[in-house]
Amino acid sequence: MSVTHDPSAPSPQPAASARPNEAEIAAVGEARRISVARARLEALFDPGTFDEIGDRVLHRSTLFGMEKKQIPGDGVITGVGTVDGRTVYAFAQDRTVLGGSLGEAHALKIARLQDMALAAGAPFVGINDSGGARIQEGVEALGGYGEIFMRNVRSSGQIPQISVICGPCAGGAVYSPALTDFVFMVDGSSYMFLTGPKVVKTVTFEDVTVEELGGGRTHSEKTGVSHFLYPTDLEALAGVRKLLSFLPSNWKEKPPVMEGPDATDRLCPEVLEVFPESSRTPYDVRGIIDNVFDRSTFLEVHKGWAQNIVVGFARLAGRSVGVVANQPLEQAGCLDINASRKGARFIRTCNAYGIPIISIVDVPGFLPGCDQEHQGVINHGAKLLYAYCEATVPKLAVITRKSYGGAYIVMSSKHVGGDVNLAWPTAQIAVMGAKGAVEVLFRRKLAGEADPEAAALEAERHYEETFLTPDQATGRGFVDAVIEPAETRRKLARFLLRTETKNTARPERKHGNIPT
Amino acid sequence: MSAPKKYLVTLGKGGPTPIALSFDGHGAWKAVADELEMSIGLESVEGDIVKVTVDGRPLTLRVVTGPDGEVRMEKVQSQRTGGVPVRVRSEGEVILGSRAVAPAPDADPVLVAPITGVILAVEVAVGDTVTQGQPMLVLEAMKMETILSAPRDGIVKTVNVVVQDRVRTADILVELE
Repeated sequence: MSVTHDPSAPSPQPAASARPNEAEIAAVGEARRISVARARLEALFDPGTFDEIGDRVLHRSTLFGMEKKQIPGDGVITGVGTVDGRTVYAFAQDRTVLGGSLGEAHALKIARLQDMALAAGAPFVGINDSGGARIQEGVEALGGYGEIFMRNVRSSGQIPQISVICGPCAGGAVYSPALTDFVFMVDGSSYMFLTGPKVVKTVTFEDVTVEELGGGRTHSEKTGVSHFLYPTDLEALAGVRKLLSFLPSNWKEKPPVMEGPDATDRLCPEVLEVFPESSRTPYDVRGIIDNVFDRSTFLEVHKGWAQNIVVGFARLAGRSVGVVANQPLEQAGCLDINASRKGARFIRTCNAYGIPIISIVDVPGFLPGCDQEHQGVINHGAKLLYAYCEATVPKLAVITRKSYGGAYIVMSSKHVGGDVNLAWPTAQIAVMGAKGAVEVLFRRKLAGEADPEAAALEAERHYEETFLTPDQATGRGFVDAVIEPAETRRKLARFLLRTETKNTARPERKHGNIPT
Repeated sequence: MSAPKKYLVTLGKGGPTPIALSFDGHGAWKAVADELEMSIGLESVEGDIVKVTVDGRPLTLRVVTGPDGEVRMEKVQSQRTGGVPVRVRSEGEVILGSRAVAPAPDADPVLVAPITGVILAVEVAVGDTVTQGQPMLVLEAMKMETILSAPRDGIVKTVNVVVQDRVRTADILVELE
């Protein structure tokens, strides 16, 4: 098979027709029981490019009769190949060999591969399907996990690390995926937890299924541990290929540029069909994203979790960009603990790998309430603020509607290092909305009026004229330009191309101390 | 000789046929389908014209991929018919592409308030049949209307709110059967 794959050609998304049909599934029959680990690696890599390393490695355990259970490779396939022509290192655990359990030799195969990937400056993909630590090996198995974790952290921010969970991933095993940049899960056949349902039952008397405790939907909707959820292994692995197309091979390189058929100077009047006239009416911000960025390039990250903020990768003028957008459809688009965590994590990932960040701002503020305050929204909100302040990649923003209070400052404002901040004529930038502001500013004065309600309305109107426009912000230079919504794509693309050479010196220090 | 790789090949309306392909290391492939064994050599690929040899005999095929991903193939020598649809899936693709386990169950049949606010509109009544994603209530919170939709298909069992009710996060607003 040819390896002269065109790296500029993105991996196609698997069409529904790529799915196997009933007759094919029936014809495969018994073969379903064979090792799927190798099939997974074949699905990940360009055809014929995978070279295995260490297929004859043996464990050296002699306890509990293990000397009689020697299977070359020790339950994990490790090696290197190409994805869209670019080098990627990967392992796949094989549950048909000793349950895919992780012993010393199995772990050191993975650790050695991690060292090779880091040295080569190439992405690392782990396909997890393992019963856990190999009990017969005792502390050697535990030490094996530690060797992997240590390398996950050492590689963090240097090479993209992606974990795919295709089966069980329990106990200590969960921490390697948690330390990597992205986690993929498969609906119905993968799960992750620290302690399983049996132990949970004996300790807390809770009856819970594997799926409820740590299935793909739990981690994609409730916990945010999983970034992507797919119905089958085949689609998950195609998703990994697509994600890799947005990422550089390592932090010193640029992501591949893939200029498509979508003209950079195209006007996008369609955004106004999505955007409602009333500032009280919700809309799906993805309708704006789809029309502003290169068509059909948006890959949403954390789609099911903290839906009040939308994050994901897209292309603009063929360049890989990170999109962060408030979502008025969910919880009025307020920032809360989970939205802040989701946004912060995504921004730090983009910054680590040199991907510019484009923010689409329509945010009424942080979500009020005891629940949020007592769970520490101060610290969690500060993570998002920290991430924006820290990011040195080009940061562009468009304020479409509301940008109030602390949320205005956080969302890529000029004050926290925004490079180019644009606003639609409908932008409202203020400390708070009119009603609340008038109550604070004019409470005493209004009480003395003959008709307090009429006076309050008049005061609100005056406040709206003063603040609920972009004018005060443009006057101070906090918004660089007011643009027509239809120009959004063209303007963002041009400013992106003119800021992509940005080079910001970073202060010397060991590392910053992000709030937790 | 490489280890054989197995494929399922479907021609036209027929059922899938398992074919094992192995490379002999000298430019030829051995294909085994049922009891039949063939030696196949790839001569050239130019555009959609593919030239092969089957047990030494030359064969020229036209292979066209449609916009929906459908592949059609015909012999170039024969009268043009638009070709026969061909579907090839590796065994691995079939195994990985089928669901190993039943998908997780649907969402709970209750609609809870996602945010504290005031009910502005109630668009369903007890006994209504709703489909997933259908708007059921409008809630005002943070000076914004939020549309609350059915979490799954079902019949409305109870509606616990009326217009102007104040609700708190996680209150149960509508239950489905």
